[in-house]
Amino acid sequence: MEINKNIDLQKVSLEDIKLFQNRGREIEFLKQNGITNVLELLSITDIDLLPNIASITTSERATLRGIFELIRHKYLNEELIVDCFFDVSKVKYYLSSKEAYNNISFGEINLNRFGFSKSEVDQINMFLISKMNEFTRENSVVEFGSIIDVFAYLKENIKRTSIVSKLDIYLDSYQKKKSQKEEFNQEELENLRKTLLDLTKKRDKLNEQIALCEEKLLNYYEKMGGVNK
Amino acid sequence: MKDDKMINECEEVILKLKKEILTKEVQLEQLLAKIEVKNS
Repeated sequence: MEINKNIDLQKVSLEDIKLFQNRGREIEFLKQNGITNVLELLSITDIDLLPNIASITTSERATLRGIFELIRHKYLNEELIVDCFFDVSKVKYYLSSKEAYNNISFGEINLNRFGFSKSEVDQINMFLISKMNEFTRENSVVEFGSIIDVFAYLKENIKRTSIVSKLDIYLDSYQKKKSQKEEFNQEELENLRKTLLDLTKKRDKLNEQIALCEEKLLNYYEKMGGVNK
Repeated sequence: MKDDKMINECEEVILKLKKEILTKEVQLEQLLAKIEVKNS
């Protein structure tokens, strides 16, 4: 297990990382399993292998998996498995619809998978519902192209620590990924431009050679007194 | 993204150029063959 931070993770308690909801079922479950700090949590390979895992609900398990992934990303630099960067047309649809909102859905996205607990998901949904209704009243439309846009919007408006801490990790990871992609694209573009230039030169050279050959043949035909090719 | 679009455009132009070069190489070969025959 390679840890990239110069901190004693044994001294970092589950509460310190601020990803768990205070007195939430998820953190209580981990403590029942003797896990009280980040190092102990990172020594687990799979949340589902913990004893008594069946004692918590499916959504609590999903939340735990999401948080587990965030922690592994934060402290071990592991890639996030849940992809919050893809386009989500349904998010755009629901949030830009002019219908009044009494319910909100993220389509195929289960926010528990992102590490949000049930009460956090409820708060996020309630916030979005009220915002959407406000937008509808003002007859304005807000559109989100992807879930990361929703996260950025929530970050600006929700102050609950356990939600903001998770949003911070996602947004930070997104920014890093975006910069890496931009850097990669720049290199790729540079290589393509070089190839383009080389090919253009090669094409021009061929054109010159063809013109020379045609001229030679024309001269030959002229010398032969206009004999048909 | 803007860069993605540019990359796609560049790749398309490169593909067209490669095809064009292939055609021209064949054309040149044929012309050289003709010259060869005339010179023999």
